[in-house]
Amino acid sequence: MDANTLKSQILSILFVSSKPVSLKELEDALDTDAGLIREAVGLIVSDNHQSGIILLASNDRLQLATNPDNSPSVKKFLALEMREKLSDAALETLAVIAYRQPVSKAEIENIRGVNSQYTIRHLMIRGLIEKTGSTTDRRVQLYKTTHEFMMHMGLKDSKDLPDFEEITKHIEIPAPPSEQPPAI
Amino acid sequence: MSVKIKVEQFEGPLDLLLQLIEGQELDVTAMSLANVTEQFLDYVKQLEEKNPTHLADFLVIAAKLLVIKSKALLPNLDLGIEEEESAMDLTHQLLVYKKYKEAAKYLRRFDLRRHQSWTRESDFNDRVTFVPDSAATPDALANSIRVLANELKEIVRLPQQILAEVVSITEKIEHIQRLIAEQVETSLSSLIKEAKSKTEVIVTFLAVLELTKQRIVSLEQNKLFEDIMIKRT
Repeated sequence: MDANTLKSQILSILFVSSKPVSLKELEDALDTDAGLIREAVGLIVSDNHQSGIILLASNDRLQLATNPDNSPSVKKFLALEMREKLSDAALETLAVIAYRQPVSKAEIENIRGVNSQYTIRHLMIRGLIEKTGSTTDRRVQLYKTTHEFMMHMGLKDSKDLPDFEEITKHIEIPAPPSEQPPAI
Repeated sequence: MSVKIKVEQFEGPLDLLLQLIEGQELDVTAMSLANVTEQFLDYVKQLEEKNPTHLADFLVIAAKLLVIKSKALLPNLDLGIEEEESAMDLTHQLLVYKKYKEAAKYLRRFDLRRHQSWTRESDFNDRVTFVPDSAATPDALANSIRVLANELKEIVRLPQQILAEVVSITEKIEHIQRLIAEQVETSLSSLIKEAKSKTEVIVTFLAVLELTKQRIVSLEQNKLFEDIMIKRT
């Protein structure tokens, strides 16, 4: 199957499904290797940045959505309300999850230095994050971002999220204290 | 010496610490942490009265700050390697936090841009988010909240009792200190004789232990199970 046919078939399947479709489901339906599908998905994502319909790919799940550039007209047509703005605590927690996913509650709280139970629950209710099991320890619940996260933030591509190293390179972290002469 | 910085809002102890340090235009170093320790403790004291929800998280950081401060004042002080490392780790923790706070700024920009997208599910009908049950009349709701309030009373009462005990330890300590100042010496049995409840006996004993720890009194017992004598040191 050539690349264009594959792209076309993926789009048709995603169009008829109103729910997110997993890579695995596409693999079964198209009887094609996951690697090829991933490649085709990557092409659709970048080709559609200017289109009215974009393909959101998040954690190996795919969904068609409206282009965020058109939000004023879509909003008007459907008489929708914009999603509510997020609080500082929610944004901070979301940043940790977005850049470290999948990440545990303990890790989030360790970074923020404060109990984050309430904020995590709030983000879950708003559908911006979801739980996922850990592959190494079944008892641990990890959190990752969702399509809703991309749609809320108006991200067309997971690459639209700025590079963490790039935006935080001005904050230098010195070597661990044990390898350094005492600072004071 | 320390400049007072007014911090309006903070998301947690690390956020507060970062704002205190940056308010004085300092870099994140152990020395800066020692500088802002007192201000941090002031905020924790206010928090204790106004909003104790995250108090425990603040106390963890306060303890680390005190280790750093003591070390800055008395460089020869030996606090044990583990304590020192966990405190020195605070600069590292603070910088990691700062990175994510920076990343959150970018997310805020996205959020404020108000560019959003929707899927096909975003239909008119699906957007109705709250449909009250037909049985949910104002009377029924008022009744429910009354029942709930009654059940909550039991839960709310518990922490109050715990707080009362904490206060009475302090009172007990003051009482024993006054007593020892007048009499020079007293005994545990005579202190316990005044106790009106089992809790008070325990509190008295805890108060005596605390005073001993602070080296305000010393204890003496000649034989096993004999009365414990309490002396002023």
